[in-house]
Amino acid sequence: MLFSSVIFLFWFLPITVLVYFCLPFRILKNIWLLTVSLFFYAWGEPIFVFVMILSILFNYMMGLLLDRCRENVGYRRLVLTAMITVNVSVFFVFKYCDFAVKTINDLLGTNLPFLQLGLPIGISFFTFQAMSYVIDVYRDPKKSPVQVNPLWVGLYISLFPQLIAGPIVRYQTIAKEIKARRETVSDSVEGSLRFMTGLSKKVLIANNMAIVADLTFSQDVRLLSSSLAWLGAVAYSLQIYYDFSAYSDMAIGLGKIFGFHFLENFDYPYTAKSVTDFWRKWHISLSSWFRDYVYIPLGGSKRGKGITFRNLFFVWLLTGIWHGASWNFIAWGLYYFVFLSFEKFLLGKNGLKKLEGSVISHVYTMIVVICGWVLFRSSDLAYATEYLRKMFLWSSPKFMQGSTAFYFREYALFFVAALVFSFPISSYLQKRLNNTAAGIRFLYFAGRNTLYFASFYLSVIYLLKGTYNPFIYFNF
Amino acid sequence: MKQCNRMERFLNFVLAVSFVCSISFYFVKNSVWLPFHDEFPVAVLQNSSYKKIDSQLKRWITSVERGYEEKFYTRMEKVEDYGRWNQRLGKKILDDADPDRSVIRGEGDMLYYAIPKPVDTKKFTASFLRLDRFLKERGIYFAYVQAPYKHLKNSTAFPKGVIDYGNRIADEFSESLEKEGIDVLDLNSVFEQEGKREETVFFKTDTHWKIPFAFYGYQKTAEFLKENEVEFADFDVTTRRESYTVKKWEDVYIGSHGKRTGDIYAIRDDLELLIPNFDTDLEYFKYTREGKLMKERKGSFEDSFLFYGYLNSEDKYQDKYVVYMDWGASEDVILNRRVKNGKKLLIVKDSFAMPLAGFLSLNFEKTVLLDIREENRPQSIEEYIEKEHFDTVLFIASPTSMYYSPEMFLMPLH
Repeated sequence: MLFSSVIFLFWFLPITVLVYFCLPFRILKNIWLLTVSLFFYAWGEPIFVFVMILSILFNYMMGLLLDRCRENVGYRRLVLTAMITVNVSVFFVFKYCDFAVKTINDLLGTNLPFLQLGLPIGISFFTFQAMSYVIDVYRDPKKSPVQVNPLWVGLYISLFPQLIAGPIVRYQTIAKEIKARRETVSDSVEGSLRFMTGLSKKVLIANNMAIVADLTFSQDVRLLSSSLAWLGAVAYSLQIYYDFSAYSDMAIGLGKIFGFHFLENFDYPYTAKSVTDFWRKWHISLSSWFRDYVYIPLGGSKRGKGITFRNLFFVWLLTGIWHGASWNFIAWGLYYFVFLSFEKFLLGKNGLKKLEGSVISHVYTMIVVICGWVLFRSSDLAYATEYLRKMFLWSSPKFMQGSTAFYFREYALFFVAALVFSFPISSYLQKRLNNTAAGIRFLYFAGRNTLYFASFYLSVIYLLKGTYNPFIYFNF
Repeated sequence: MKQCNRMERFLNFVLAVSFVCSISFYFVKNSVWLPFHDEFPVAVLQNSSYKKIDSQLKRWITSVERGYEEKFYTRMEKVEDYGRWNQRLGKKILDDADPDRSVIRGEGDMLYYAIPKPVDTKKFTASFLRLDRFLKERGIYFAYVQAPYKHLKNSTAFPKGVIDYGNRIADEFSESLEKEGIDVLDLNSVFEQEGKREETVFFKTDTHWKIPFAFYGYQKTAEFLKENEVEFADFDVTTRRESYTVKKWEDVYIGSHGKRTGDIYAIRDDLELLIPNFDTDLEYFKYTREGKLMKERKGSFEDSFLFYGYLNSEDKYQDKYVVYMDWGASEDVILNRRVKNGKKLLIVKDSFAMPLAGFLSLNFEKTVLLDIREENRPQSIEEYIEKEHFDTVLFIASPTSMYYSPEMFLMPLH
């Protein structure tokens, strides 16, 4: 079930919220949330919901085992290793096994059979969340005490707002809130607004950008013109930002309605002034997960340049692999490894500061990011190479004459809105309004909220009409 | 600052309440049980393979979601609001949940689909070559008749810049067949060469050609078959335009494009039908995917082929193209009681061939129409022909089917 679907908005959500607020006790509210979360997942994966349930039970038991052998360091390490091995193995089997088989067959000329198990939606998200629960219990039992109630572990892992598209929520973030939280009017108001804006971002901007992006990336690349290639690359860059950040907005908004406070996942990444800066603002929950559970345990940047280089390589290789079982995702991860290494080792702290303060910083960052998205979106490396070639070596085949102008004009409103709102316009305007007359401030907020509601209504129209509404996280 | 915060909080509260009220209103107006109008397919769970259970359950869930959307309170008003919004934006593309079915608006209110991606026609050529060899061994004449593509090559109505591979793949495919020695009548090129305009040939709001131009296509096909020494009866009578009377209904038809845009964005087409002036005596049988007889008609051309009931439908979006020959079935059989030449014609077809086939049936003792697309009855043509001898086999389809129904061009062996 997608958040941006009619059945979620007008059937699942009202029933969930209505029953939740009618139930008298915290324990009943949590059981209800767990039930609807499992139902929500089963709606998209009627069979693989059992994979998630098994994952919950397994990681719950691992947490208990760690707690039982608190004094035995060796045994704790063994349990942790077993937990990581099993989780990664299950993850590997569902997501990467057929890719590995294909690679071996291609390299060695063998004919190994494919498993073709299918990929449970959101397995990347809930596996990482489950692992982070057990790792946090292992590392710091005081800060992250084990949860003895399997239902609450289940609730943490399967909570529907963040289940299929993140953000990846750390157990520490919501452990206390699972047991004791307050659902306040102001949180419900903020949550509703956040959800509305997320829905509008997804339906009106992301989905329209998707049309242009999918059109250009499905073309015969030999016939593609340079201008259309750029238009498609920019459209995809906007699509993936608005789609992903919209899901995070909706997740955070829904969480707030139920009294949970998830951390922010995006911080206007397209205002970044360097690639390093970009990754501080993009999919923050994932990059911080890799930082805390891979980079820092490997030594981080505290053991010399060589080790730091190695650690960066592993993190970005894993980041690419996490995103999908395909060489272009791995290439995408290593692409960022190259640029981040350049900024860290060749520019250094002072050089990076100079770059970020320069006029070209934003242009440089956006070109790197957009080209990265071409790698990410392409069906394979060969297509990505040709596409990038088209972008940088002028080409204007007759077949595509007039296409760039046509598609830009056709979706101009959405392109402009996407570009404008990728900057923190709202907070900028609010700061400027602080010292203005009350009447002007009223007009601003009333106008802004009218626009929000109109966007919400328009989103509902689009959903009911049945417009293009892709779910791009099926790889994850 | 405090006042600012208070004002913002108040207005945000109003907005949140509006949001909650909207959700609640539509929740109440649509029944809680609305999603579950389709019975849960318990039999699915008896499958042995988890993959089969999974895919069938997902199909059921998708149908539940679709059903909920289709029955949603005031849905059609919202569709029309969508049309109004796009009209105000001056948009030429009306997007659809299926991006392949996005509607493009051209000059003069012409609506189109486009083929937005390239199609590899080499596999199609290989299948056609296989079929051609099979038929030649049995002395059966075979030809490919390519129906015209709505976005004609000489189009001035189709918006400039919209990516459309339709004519490209049509030319590529017909040329590759000709290179392999397969007879081809490319009506798409013929219409262009004869200066036909899509505004007159096609319905504005539907992908299909108008019946008078399907008749023109029939005339060209009959001439082509005659040049290739295919024997059939009454050529001089049936191919003359003067042998037919025109019946016309004005502003009655909103076609498949218009259904997706709502009638605010789409105008209504006229419907013209050609009825023979000469005597005819036909029997028309329609069979389901499983081979069960589902309809049978007998009598004159008008009695057999014209389904006037569709004209009286209360649903303004009722398809009127099917007034002629009805909806395409998996198998249609037409027996012509006035033709005794013993000649049998097999047409492998999509919906474009329907009216054309009706006219062709006036020249053969028996005409069989096979629809081998996924939604009808994918089957081996070779196996079908082995059961019943035909004198002539035609494959009649539009270039759009190469994109939407490639399986019909691949022609399965089994």
